[in-house]
Formats: sequence, structure tokens, C-alpha cells
Amino acid sequence: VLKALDKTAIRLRSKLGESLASVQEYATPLEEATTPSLDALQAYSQGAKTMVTKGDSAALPFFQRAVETGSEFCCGLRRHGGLL
Amino acid sequence: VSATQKLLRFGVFELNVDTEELSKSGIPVKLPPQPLRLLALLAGHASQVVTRDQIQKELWAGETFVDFDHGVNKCINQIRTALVDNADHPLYIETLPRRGYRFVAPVISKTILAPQPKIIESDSGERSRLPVLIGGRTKAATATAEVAAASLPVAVPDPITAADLATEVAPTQKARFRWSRAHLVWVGLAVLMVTAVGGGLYWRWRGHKVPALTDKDTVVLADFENKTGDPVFDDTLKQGLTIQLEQSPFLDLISQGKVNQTLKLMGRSAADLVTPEVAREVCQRTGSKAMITGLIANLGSQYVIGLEAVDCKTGTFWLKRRSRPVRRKPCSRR
Repeated sequence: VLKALDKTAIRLRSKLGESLASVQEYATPLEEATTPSLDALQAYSQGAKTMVTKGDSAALPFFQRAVETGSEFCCGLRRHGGLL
Repeated sequence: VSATQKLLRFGVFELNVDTEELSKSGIPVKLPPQPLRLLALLAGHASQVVTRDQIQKELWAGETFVDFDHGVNKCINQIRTALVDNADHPLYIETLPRRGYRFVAPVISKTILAPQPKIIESDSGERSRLPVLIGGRTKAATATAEVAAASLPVAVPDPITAADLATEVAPTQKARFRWSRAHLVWVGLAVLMVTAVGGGLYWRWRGHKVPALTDKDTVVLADFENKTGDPVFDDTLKQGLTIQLEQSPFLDLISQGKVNQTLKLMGRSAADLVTPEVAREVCQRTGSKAMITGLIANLGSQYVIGLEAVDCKTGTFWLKRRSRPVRRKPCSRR
């Protein structure tokens, strides 16, 4: 599913006016940029949303689960490293 | 002026001696006047020998003709071509060396009444003449008609309109005109069809032409619509799409923080779903150019993802992109 989302999003970017060179250069697949695990990505998404609505402490369990589920979850580590 | 005309019929041919017309099965056959007269002479003396002297007296009488033999031969050749006849195995004209020719085919002679000329009253009050054109008449028939009209004017009982006149005067022209009109209608229809198809294609092309964004334009992302019933896709795909689109140095996504602020201004909670309707309002409030909506749905045993770019002001779709169906499998969650 993530691969399909990747491909569709990349096609959308080029159709919206982004140059082909730019699309090719800045299109790291989601599985590499985040995680191949949908569950991990879901946990991360929930954490990001909870952080905005309920605060950092409420979001922490979600980020922890994201990292546990997808150990290669670089974005979660990079963005919310301070929380973990 | 003769009121009758003499016809000579042989095979599929008919020769009108008076009007000097030859036809084959009713279809006129072109033949110059001199060969026509020679044919009339030969057919009029069917099965008899017509000598070259006789021909010279009948057709070249009083004329100084330096190469009579050549002239006769040429006429005979033209006649044979018109009749599709063969000198070696003649069906119609047999050559008798040094003597002359003999028309060997049986000939039926018939006399018919010459067609009556029509005379109508012209607008100027003078009598005017119509050439007799029944069946495609010749100058002889026309001359007959003219003479008859000049000497024996016959009033036409029914008034003839201009349309009647056109109908009777020039049937061939009328046929041409009809063909021409039909032709024009078809050409017109073809032009209309080409225009319609071209217009449709252009309209479709325009419809699919996406107004390019600039690097100053901002874009709002709506929540993904999850029609699969699987909660794993809730928020997940929007997060994935955000990460993919944020890699672009060209696209400028409105941040989640700004979206939340705008939602508050709209009297909504940050936890509210950003549906396409809500996203459009956020888009308009933030002065963004477009919004992107997403959808995931079941397609049999597969998933399909769709993305759409929508103009915030007009609500019209710029473009739609759909993924290939993705097989549902447990490992996809991994």
C-alpha cells in the first residue's frame, strides 16, 4: 500500500508542475524515509496528532510504539527524538 | 422542316439519321459528324456495297479534298472504334479492297415523329423558344425546334414557372446541381463532425490540463477517506502522503499547525476530520491555491488509492490519479 501511495503521489507531484529532475531527486520511498510497517506509521501518525491536540506526554506512547514496531523508523526518531 | 425522324437500329446501336446521334443501349456514343454521316450512308445501304466513289460524292461532294482515301479510312476507323468493330472479323462494316465498304449487320429502319418544340411566353411579352431537350437532343433537333417555334408558335396552356423552365431546359445541369448539393451537404456534415470531434478533444484536453502551481503557491492536504473499514489506514496514509509531498522543494504544504489554527477560527477542533469540504474552507482561508484529497477503497480483494487535486476557489478538479490495485495481504501491514 505504501508503495502504491508513493507512486501515485510522485505522479501527482509531476503533474502539479514540479520538474522531473526535482521529482527524481527528492522522492525517497516512504519505506525508506519512514518504515515499511503500516502499524508503525499508524502509531507515528497518531502520536503526531495527539501531540498537537493533547500534548507531548499523551503522544509519547504512540511514538514509543512506532519505534518498537518499526525499528528503522528514522522520521520518528529524527523529529521526536526529544520525546523518546 | 421534317416532322419525322429516321432511326436505323443495328445490334445494340441506334442511329438517328436526322439528328445525327448514335447511341448504344440508349447511352449516347460520341462520333464526329463526318463519320456519323458515313455510318448513316453505310447502314442505310445495309448488305449493299457502297463504293468509295459513292462515298466521295455523298460526303465530299463539291469539296476539294486532296487526300480522300486517308479521310475515308480515318472515318471508318472512328466508326469501328465507336461500334467496337474489328476489320478482320467485322460485325458491322466489311472492307472490300479497292471497291468500298459493306454494312453486314441487319438493320431495322424506323420512322418516328419529331418531338414538338415547346414555346412559352416570356416576361417581355415576346415569344421565346425552348430547345427540345427530351432525351438529350442535338443541334439538329434544336434547329428543328427553333424553326418550328419561329414559324408555328404554339401557346403553352399552363403557365410555366422558372422552376419548370430550369427542370426542362437543363436536366443534365440539374443532375449536376443535385450531385453538387448532395456533395456540399456531405462535405458540410464532414466538416461539422470534424469540428465537433476536434472541439470535444480540445475541451477534454483543456479539462485535463492542469494549471501549474508556482513555488509561491501553498497546498492544503485533506484527511484520507478510508473506505476499506480497516482502521490501520486511518491517518496513516495522510501521514505517508505528507512525508512524500514534503520532500518536494516545489510544493509548499500548509503545516498542520496552521491548519489547526484555521480550524479553531472556523469554530472547529483540531481533532476534527479535515474532510474535502473543510479542507476547501481551510484552503480558502489560508489563501492556498489547491487542496489534495485522498481515498483508499476496496476493489474486490484489492485496495485502490486515489489522489485528487482540486482548485480551492472553484472546487473544480485539476487532476485525478489512481494507483494500480494493490493486493491485500497480511504482510502489507508489516
